[in-house]
Amino acid sequence: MSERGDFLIHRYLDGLASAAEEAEFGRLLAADARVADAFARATRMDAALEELFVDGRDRRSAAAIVDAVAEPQAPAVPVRWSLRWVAAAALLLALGTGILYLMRNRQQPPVTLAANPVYAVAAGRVLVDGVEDGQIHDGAEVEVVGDQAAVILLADGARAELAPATKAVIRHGRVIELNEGSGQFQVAEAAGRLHVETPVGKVSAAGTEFAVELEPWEREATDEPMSQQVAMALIVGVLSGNVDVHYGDRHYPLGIGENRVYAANKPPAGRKNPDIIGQVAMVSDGGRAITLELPDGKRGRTNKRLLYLTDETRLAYVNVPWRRDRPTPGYQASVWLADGSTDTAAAVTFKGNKSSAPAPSLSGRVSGVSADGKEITLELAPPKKGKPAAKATIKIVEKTRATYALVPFFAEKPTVGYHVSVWLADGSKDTAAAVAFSGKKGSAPMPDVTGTVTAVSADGKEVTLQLPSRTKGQPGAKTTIKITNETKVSYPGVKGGRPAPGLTASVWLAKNSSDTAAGIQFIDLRAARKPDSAKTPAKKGDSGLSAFFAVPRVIELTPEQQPKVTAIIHELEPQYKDYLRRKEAVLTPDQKLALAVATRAAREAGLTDKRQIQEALDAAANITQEQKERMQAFVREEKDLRKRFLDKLTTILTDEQKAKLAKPKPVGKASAKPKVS
Amino acid sequence: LEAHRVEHRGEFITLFLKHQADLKAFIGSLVRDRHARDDVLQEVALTLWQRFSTYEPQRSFGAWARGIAAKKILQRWEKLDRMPQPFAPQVIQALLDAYERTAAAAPARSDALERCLQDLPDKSRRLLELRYEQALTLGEIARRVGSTLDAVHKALSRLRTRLQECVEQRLAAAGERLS
Repeated sequence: MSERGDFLIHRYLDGLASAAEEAEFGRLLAADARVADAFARATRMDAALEELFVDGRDRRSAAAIVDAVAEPQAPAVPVRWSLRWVAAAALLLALGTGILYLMRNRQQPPVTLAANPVYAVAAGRVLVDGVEDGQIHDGAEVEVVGDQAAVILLADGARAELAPATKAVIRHGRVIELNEGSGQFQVAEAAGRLHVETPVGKVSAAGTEFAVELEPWEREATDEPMSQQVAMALIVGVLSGNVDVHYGDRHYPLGIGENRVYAANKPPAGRKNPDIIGQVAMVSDGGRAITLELPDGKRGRTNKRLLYLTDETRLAYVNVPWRRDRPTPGYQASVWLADGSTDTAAAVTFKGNKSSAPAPSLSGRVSGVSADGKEITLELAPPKKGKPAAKATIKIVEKTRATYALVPFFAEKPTVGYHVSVWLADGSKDTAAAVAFSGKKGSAPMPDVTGTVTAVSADGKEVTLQLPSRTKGQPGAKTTIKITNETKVSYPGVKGGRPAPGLTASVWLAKNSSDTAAGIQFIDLRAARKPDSAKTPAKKGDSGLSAFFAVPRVIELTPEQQPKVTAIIHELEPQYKDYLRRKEAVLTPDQKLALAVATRAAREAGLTDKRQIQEALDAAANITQEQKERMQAFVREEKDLRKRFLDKLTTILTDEQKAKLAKPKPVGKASAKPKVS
Repeated sequence: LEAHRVEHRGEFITLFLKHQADLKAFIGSLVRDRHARDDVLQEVALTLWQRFSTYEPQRSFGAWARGIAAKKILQRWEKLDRMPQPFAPQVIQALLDAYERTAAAAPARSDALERCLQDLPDKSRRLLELRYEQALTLGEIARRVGSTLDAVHKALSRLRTRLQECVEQRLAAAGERLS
């Protein structure tokens, strides 16, 4: 066999082959049987080595394997089993011994589409076509009832967690028509794409976890003509991976951590750009006329324009606080005029700013809570220092909107000591329309312990957790946590609703205890761990690689320069891929998992202080000083690598291009985005 | 169908376990991510069992299983919309043929490999442990052993080649003894 073939086989096995080498290797394999035979032998050797070093170490007898697998867990609610489930179960039951070893990591048989798919409700309550049921047939209208989110198992392990009052229809296991409310969706990469369709836009993704919320900007006052206008905003947040939002005529790719708001107020067909953009200066009493201030291009001067809103005008509000979804001075307005009119709007999108939140009616510290939690007593800030604090009793009714910040999940209830801001209902002096509780300042609501459940006592009162390891390849320490009758336990999205090995637990310890939980939350992140393949270093054509080797936007490459740039990229690509691999290996898989959990907890707790978040994340993932230093070193290495690319790029540029590259960025303006070559 | 399943359960288990390692190697040759490879193996196992009633005993079980695995892998690549795909379909066919041509008894191969490993110096074993037991990247291994990525790659390549030769020799010697 050729030396080249041997070289490529080992490059491929060690994950070092570039895209060009992979292509060359493929051609060789197809053309030369000797190379293909050598590759077959080499991959057998590769697998045999892994078998000996990894699997062989804990190779078990058939009996031990059966013990390890135990019984497949039954779903939380009766499920009309699809053909595939039946087949999977039949396989498990039939094979019994050796093959179960294969299945040991998969507690839930894969679900794919049967002729009449049925989806199980793993948690929460839903009305299916108006009748409460534990299973949902394809195409049925679903409404989440009660105050808990409903977890619905879709095809191929995908999962939807729909918030209370959400209305949706599930079709073909992969399409969720979200008509009202919100949901969080998880889909493994291998499961294909999941589509969430809303009246505003469509969201689709694979190998990701994302949240979708439909926010109806309905007006509360029903005596206003415009109350009939129901504009909607689609809010999309990406918790992991990437999603694609189709809104209007465009696709918007969103990455991890990104949140975007899309207003339902699509521009009239064929008119993407608004006719008028200006700031709302005045609003008529009835809200039917607005005056906009328009810049006229001359310094310090503005024009004013009066516009009418009719029952047909479609209104949307973006980035405006709750209860401020009405034309308001200060909002930015984008206006599409009605056909043939110069003063009547067909559609208006109002854009607010965060600082325009309405002030609460009153705020203070909670000094008392009634037994049923329906009344709270506030200790208001004293009018003057030394004066006694005034008190107020506020009723919390069913319609009261309550939010919690800086409070762990198990303490989300009115509690003495919390700070609270109250917005009173219109015309009421003691009934809250909204309350916002927040925990004690400085008290980090992060879990004290996060780990993977390795064992659960027979009575379910003790769980053993494997903590994130500090060293790759070395298991982390284990700790046992007690669950008492006082412990608040939650299982968001966990099938079966009970502790089980493999789940990830976040523990908030009871006061003065090192092993008793005040709160414990179990989540199943195993599905989310799967798309590790997506994290492998970017190949040619992948966004990571393309972005890193992007030619600055100011440079227009000539056709002659293009291949030279490609050659530079080919030269540096192995180093970049190696850098990515090494960077990826800094944290152990458990630490990455703990980071994911802690990040979510920080987000849910509303933490905003970057330093506080970083410290909490470092603590949760047990990140060592050495690891921190290595991550910092990687930041420097990435900069160095980018600089090397730019240095090499400079050598092929013309003097004019070099001058553009060297030109300092304008002060106060965002730097130009790199252009992908 | 159910009666067939009950009747042939033992037969399937025997065949599957016999070919499991080789099947895993074949899938791993095309799907390099370990988790993804194990997922494909599970899917293939399920499909093999579902279609076992159509399996013709005169055919090679290994070839039948690899054929189904190849289809699953292609489906997976299509499903993931991975463009460009790692290999063209004709490469998969070439690999199917190569696996058929080079088939060998897995248990004998595994025993031979264990013996060959025992003959390796500690330093070489350590390198293999880092790569195969701890699944470290070559860059990470280089850092651990104070070497360069290229040197580690070359050392691992040599080790695999040496072990392969050792295994072939042992299998050949065992064959001669038997004959």
